[in-house]
Amino acid sequence: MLEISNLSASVGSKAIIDGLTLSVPAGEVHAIMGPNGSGKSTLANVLSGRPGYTVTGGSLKLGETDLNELEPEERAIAGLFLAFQYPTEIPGVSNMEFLKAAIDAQRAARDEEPLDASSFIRQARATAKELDLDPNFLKRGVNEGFSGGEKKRNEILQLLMLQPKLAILDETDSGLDIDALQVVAEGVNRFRAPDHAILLVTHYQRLLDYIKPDRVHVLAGGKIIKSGGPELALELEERGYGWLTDN
Amino acid sequence: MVNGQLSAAERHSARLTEFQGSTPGTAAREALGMLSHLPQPGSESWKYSPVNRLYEALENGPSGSASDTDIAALLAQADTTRFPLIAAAALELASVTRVQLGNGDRLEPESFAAQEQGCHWLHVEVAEGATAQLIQRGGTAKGLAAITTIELKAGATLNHSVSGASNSGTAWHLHSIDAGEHSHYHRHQLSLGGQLERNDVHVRLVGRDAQATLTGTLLCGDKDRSDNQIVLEHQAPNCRSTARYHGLANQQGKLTFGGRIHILPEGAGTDARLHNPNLLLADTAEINTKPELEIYNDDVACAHGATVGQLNDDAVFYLRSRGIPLTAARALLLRGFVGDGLGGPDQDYMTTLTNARLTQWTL
Repeated sequence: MLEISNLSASVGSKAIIDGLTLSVPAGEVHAIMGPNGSGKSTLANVLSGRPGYTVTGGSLKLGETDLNELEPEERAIAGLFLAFQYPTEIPGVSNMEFLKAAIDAQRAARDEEPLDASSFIRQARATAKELDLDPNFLKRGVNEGFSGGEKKRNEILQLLMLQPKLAILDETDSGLDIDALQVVAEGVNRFRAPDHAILLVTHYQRLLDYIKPDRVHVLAGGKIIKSGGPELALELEERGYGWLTDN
Repeated sequence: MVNGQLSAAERHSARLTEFQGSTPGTAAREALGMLSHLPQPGSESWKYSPVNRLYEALENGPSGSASDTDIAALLAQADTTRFPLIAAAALELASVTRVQLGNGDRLEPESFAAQEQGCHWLHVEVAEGATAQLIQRGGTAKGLAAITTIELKAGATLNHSVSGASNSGTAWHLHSIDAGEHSHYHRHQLSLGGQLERNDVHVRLVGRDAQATLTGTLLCGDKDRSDNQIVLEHQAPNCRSTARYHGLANQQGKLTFGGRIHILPEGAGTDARLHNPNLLLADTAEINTKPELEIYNDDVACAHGATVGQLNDDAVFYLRSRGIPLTAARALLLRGFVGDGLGGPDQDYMTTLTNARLTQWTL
């Protein structure tokens, strides 16, 4: 579903991603691990089309769609979703209003019928409940005054409401206690489906105890230096990254 | 300048003579005397508004027809020391409306625009213990001064919405509010700017335990000038006031906000807060803001602040990453910024006007 081929990308004038190739088929969960500064978050931002992140070579495709040609909102409509490492607080815009605007915009762009208000509210409340979020969160400003864990759960709420094809989770486990981690992982696991793909970007193996990956990739120096099965994550947890990056 | 004022006084005097007889009345003569105290162009409180243009607009408008009694009443009702321009407006009064509001009353006087040119004075008294609504809508016509004075009797509550539609006029709006003991004044204001618009709001908390809550949304685009000056004057013990004005300037708009909390020696136990967040949406737009405190009593809690910023790029990207197009994302954020500024009894109308303007700005 996601095909990244020989990708190079820079932030400002600094080259961060350097010849990265990765393929995530539909139905699979892939984890990208790597030391700090290896380019993990840059990869997530490049995929989502964040301004300031420039593709300097190679290609990015979601299905048959060339992502590099698209604006961030068009990528979302094509089926890409990024769960942010640091979700932005937007005072004054309620979570509900924001979610409705996002769903309406995506459905309109796909020529789908708009979701009627009552089913939307019902669905949003039910999903919030599954994620152990008080339904009052829907009325509050987007991420406004939310704790770290609440912000991450709010990202998963959006994921479940928007039902994209590909979910990229950027350090979704950071700042979560063990209970919140389980709730978030359950949400992500609920998203798993034969026609969905997931890319987990994480520094630690911990998250992978709850969301079992099909493949694990190690990113260092802007490229993938090793790939393997779930056991690779355990090995990294035990040995660190040094044995891979020192060679 | 002196010559200019003298000739202005002479012109006013000649107009008065026509309808008051050969000798202007006592109040008229008092008003004429005040004309020599008009603010100087460029003086502190008129730094961002050309006061002489407003004054000219007053002079060139249709002649007033106020009786000496009306002139005297207006001079007595508002603070002529702080606003000497009242004297010029009093001399040119075209209409005087006095209304008393009882419990449950809702007043929607004719819009300013419908009254066309000239100076108009509306006096509203909210009866003791009554809860009432006052809704003022409308644009501004050329050369218009609209003075609204409000008296809240003991225990009264007034929910007041004021919205002005932008147009090409020059306008001066003065709202002077006296809040009595245990009364509550709630103001919801929307200003869309104008060629030259000056809005003065003077709230005097004159009775103990009086409260004032002011929210405002100030939008200024095109080549408009919008100058908004708020004074919250605590004259009695244990009064509370909060003011929150959101400003947005775009294109070549020039938006000014001055907010002053003034606590007199009698104002022990005051709690006063004033905040003015602003967004500057274009390189060519301008925002001037000055929150001020003037305190003559030690037993008070006061806070004031102002910010000027731009739309947050991270927030724009966050919305876009969920499929919301750039223009819609910007509009959503601008509406969110204005947010709770649009409440009160005329919320729907004010929201419609605001959304239309913000949509126009983000296209």
